Amino acid sequence: MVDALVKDYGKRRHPKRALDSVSLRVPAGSAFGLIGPNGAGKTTLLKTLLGVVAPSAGAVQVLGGSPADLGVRKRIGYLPERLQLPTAWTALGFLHSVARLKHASRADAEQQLQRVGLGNEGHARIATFSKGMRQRLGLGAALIGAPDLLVLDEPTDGIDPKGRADVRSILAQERARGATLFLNSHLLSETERICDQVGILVSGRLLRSGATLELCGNPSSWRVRFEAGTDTKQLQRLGFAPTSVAQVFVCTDCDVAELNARLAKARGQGALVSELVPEMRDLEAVLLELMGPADA
Amino acid sequence: MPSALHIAADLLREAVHRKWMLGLLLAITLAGVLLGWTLQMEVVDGVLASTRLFGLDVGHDLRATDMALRPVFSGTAWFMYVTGLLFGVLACSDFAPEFLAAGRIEHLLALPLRRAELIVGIYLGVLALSVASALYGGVVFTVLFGLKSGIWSWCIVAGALAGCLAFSAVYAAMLASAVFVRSAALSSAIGVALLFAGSVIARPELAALFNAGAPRRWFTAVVSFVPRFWLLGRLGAVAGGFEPLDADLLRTAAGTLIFAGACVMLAIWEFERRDY
Repeated sequence: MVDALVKDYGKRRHPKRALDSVSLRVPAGSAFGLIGPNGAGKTTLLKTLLGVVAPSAGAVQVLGGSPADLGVRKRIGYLPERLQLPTAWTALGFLHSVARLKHASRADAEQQLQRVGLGNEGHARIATFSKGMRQRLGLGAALIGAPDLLVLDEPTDGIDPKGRADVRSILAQERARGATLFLNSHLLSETERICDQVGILVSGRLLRSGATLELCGNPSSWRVRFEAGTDTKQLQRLGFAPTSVAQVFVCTDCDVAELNARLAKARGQGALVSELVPEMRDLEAVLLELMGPADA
Repeated sequence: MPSALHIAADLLREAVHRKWMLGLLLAITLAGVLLGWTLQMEVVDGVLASTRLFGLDVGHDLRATDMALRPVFSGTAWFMYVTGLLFGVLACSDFAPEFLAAGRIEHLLALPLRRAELIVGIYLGVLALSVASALYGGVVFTVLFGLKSGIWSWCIVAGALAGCLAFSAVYAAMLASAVFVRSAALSSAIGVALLFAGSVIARPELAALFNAGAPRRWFTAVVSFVPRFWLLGRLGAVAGGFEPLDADLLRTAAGTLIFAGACVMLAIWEFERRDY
């Protein structure tokens, strides 16, 4: 829970406001995605949740306590945006070190190494790892100790498509275990796929937050596929605009009642509907709309 | 604070992979091997009859061995003290900046670890490294001279450990500077500057160079905060019984520890209030 959070950087006379009265509640067990343009204050918000950055004003409560509380921090797994690993160490050596500091077992560290797909690289030097492998290792470190909250800053950065699918699968397992996810990613499609809650941060202000479906939902546009042989002119007269795909039409600016009325007329004239899909806005569209043309 | 010890252990693990550290161990070992191979001492009934280095005679007088070797022992102890300090400044300057580097420090601070424990852990790790290196070098040369001459004096080890005492103050200042500015170069420069100040400038006799009155008082006041490293170097000779232990040396040793403690406290104070 974050309440009226303010963070100013820089000199007292001319501070730069990174976070401006941000209030946010993330339900336990949910997957929350924080999105926004570069410099919006996303990483600052994440670091404030972890106690790495002290707020200038406002209150932060994580897992029912203060992020300064070691007992709370023990229940958090964190993957920084640009994790710098000790390159001379082995992967297993690094995870053992994290396990010691988190008061977790060595077996846990070894299990997480397997889980992130680096089971065969345990004794390899981190210096020999690719960016994607280092990112996986960082995720493995975050997973040690079965944290109740996973705070991940760009978790799939530098990871190939197969790896991203693996990461999504791991995050799904963590959610199934009951962990809460707090995700910051530039990849909006990833956020959409993983998160059921989204917050949009622009210029330090939380412009919108809520369920992903609610933010992208309320469709007023529908994509309808009719069976071949349907009279297209008739459909156009009823308000179905043709698309570049054969037999696929779009019905815009119509609510559910209006759509059903038009479909009833079309079916009355012999048209057969084979597919109906609401045209949801994606997060990118929502973000661009909120940012406005100047910011975008 | 077990977490501080974990951090210290991590630092030691990192040090093992450093070329600087491996180079130091190799240099000490090679110097020991070379000296052991080339130095030949003929000791008869407690008298040093002849000493040869690289096959050449080094002095012909018949002298009591313990007296004859006194300059050798105290010189080696001083050498260990100075080279240990210089090497420590150069080799350890980037430990703290690396631990505090962006991308690593956030990760460490998000772990269940107090900020003070992180600073103390880095400090203890570097001190442990310095003590281990000093002991290794000191013991190698002590054993070497002991086997060659039959005289066993721990003044070389004491000289090396005196270097660690001085280094505890130097590194504390370097650590504090690294917390303010994450730069290995600056940390190293602070270490060299403090070493120079404590070895050359912090001498009471230099006050005579300043005009009597305010300039002299200012000089004396400023250098009174700087540990007198030139004096600490005598610890080796004192341990060997070649020089008496005086109150000034004890005061200097205590002052060095207080200076180190103050610098570590400053580092913790700044670290506690800093955003990363």
